[in-house]
Formats: sequence, C-alpha cells, structure tokens
Amino acid sequence: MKAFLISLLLFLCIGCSSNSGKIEYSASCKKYDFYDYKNEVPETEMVDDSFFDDVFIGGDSRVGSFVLYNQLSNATLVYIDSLSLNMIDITTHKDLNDTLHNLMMNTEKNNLYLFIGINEIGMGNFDKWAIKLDEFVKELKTTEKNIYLIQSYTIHHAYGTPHEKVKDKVIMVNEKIKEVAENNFVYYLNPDPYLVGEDGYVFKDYVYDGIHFTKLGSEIFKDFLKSHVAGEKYVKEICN
Amino acid sequence: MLKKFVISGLLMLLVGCSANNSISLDVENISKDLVEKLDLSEKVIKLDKEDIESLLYLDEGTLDEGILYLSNTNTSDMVGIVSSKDINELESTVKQYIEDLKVQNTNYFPEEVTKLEEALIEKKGDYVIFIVSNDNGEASKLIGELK
Repeated sequence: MKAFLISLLLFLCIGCSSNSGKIEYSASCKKYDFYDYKNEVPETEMVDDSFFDDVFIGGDSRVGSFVLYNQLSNATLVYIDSLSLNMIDITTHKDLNDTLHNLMMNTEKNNLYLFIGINEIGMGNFDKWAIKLDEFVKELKTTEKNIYLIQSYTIHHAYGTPHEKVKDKVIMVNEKIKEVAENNFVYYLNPDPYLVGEDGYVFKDYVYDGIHFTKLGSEIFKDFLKSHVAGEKYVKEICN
Repeated sequence: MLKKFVISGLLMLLVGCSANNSISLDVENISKDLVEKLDLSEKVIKLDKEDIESLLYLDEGTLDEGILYLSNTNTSDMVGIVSSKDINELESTVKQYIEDLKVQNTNYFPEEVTKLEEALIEKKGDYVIFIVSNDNGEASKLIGELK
C-alpha cells in the first residue's frame, strides 16, 4: 500500500514523458533579480578584502586617494585628474595610454565602479550631462558586469561655484546619477551616511582640501564600499 | 616671420569673401594647417561634428560643420572651427566651454588656466573659430588679418 501511494505521488508530481518506460523529472529554472534599483545599495555585512580582486574603480582625482594611501591595492584603480564626463572617451591616462572609457569597457574585472561628476559641479544644469552618463552606462551594460555609480559626498568648495551653491549642485548631480542608475538597472551608492556631518558637508577630517580624502577619509570610504555590495545575493533561482 | 606669412597666405587662399559678409571656410584644411603651424600635431586627436556636439553638450544636429583638434592629454590645447545657424548661441556655448575648462584646470593644472584665459574665440560669418595653444597671440593676429 505504501509503495502504491509513493508511486502515485511521484506520478502526480513528476508527470510522464511520451518516450515512456522511464519517468523523467523535468524542470525549468530561471534566475530572477529581486534588487530594487530605485534605491541606493543598502548597508550589508562587510565583504572580505578579496572581493576587490575583481573590482575596477574608475573616475576623477577622488579615486586617486585610494592609490595615494594604498587602500584597496588589489583592485584596479584608474583615475585622471580633472576628468569630466565629456572627456571620458577623449583624455588618455598618461601611464595606461588609453581612455577611461576603453579601460572600463575592456577590463576583465566583473565589478565596475564609476566615480565622476565633481569637476562639472559648476555647470548650470545637468540634463545633458545625464544624457552622456546614460549613454556610457548603456555601453558598460553590454559587458554584462556589475556596475556601481558612486554619488558625490558634499564637498566644502568647488572652484567657480559659490560655497552656498555647492550643496545644491551636488544634490543636482546626485539626482541625475540616481535616475541613470534606476533607468538602466545598475547600482548606485550614496556615501553620505558614512562621510557627511550634520552640517551636510563631508567631515573636515576626511578631506585635506575640502574635496580629496585624507588617509582617514580613504579608510572610511573603503569601509563604506566594503559594506555596500549588492550583486548575487539579490538573485534567486526559481524552478517550475 | 616666414611662418606668419605662410599661414596668412594659406588662410587667405582657403577663405572666400563676399560683399555680403557670407563666407565659406574650408574647415577641414584650415584646421589641419593651423594644427601643424601651431605645432600641435602630435598632441591632439581629431573630433568630428558629432563628437563636438557630445563634448559641448549640444543637441544632435546643432552643428552644420565642425572639426575640433583637441589635446588627449591634460593640456588644454585645441583648434576648433564650428558652424551653426545660431552663431551667437554657438559662440556663447564655446565661451562657456572654455570657462568650464578654466575651473576644472584651476586645481590640477594652473598653467593651463593662463593659456585658457588667452583663448582665441572669433566669429567669421557662420563660423566660430577657437584656439588654445602656447601661441595664441600669433594665432589671434592671423585670424584678425582676415577681417
């Protein structure tokens, strides 16, 4: 009786194929991405430093702080001083002899971080900047890598921008980064909770000139990156 | 002196003038020759009008013609000739682009700010000619002689 019931249960659950004689289990599985791209990458458990073996961080001179203080030395760090987005496929890195655009498109690393936008903070509006960013992100997506856009922490000053307007400009550019990330289903990172004080500006101990990290600032930012990793944990396989 | 004479002669031959101020520029050859005469050939890459529209954040199709030789290192050297139906707006855009470059270079490459402050930006009919080089003074004289 027990054997009959088990057989019946298997028969009902599995189904029979036409080339019978043999009952086969057939299932189709799909991977679903449950990540909410409207939101910034939430804080998670810190990843091991080895995660950064597979990371490329590219951008303007703010990335240079990691190089300066030997942080994340196992990641690929590429920065170009005064780099603006509209030059990302024009200005060549003096040692690597290629543009950041090409270096990011062709890297073997699977996690791409882009940190750019601070040199354009004096612009009137960022609509066309966002179009350019959107174009670049769409290109990056063809590599099928994990992409992280890093929003800017609020700096103390920017050449050509009055101090009282700096915060508003940073908010404007960060909003565009968020929009581009959401529209393209890529991740965006908001470092403010780690870097910014009650006055809304980056802690003065973290930057030596109001913009670029001190050693302490680079350590804090490294911890921020380590504790904000998305990726595979949000992908679940569901089988029929 | 000879260099100045040759450049002047070349510009005069390549630029056609008419009585009603409408001029036609051989954008391709003029820009190429200016690059060579200003000794920028090994430092610049050539952008076409679509690239320039992207660089200056212009809407696609804004430019009628355009060639820009732009430094692909951290100098601000450039030779550009662009045209558009709204020449005043285009001139304003180019000026803003130069201003933005001054700001960006202030922190890292202050020596470029001096060059940018002496940038040559001239309107010729429906064209805007803009040059940043170590020889801006010389380029300014040459363009000025075309008036």
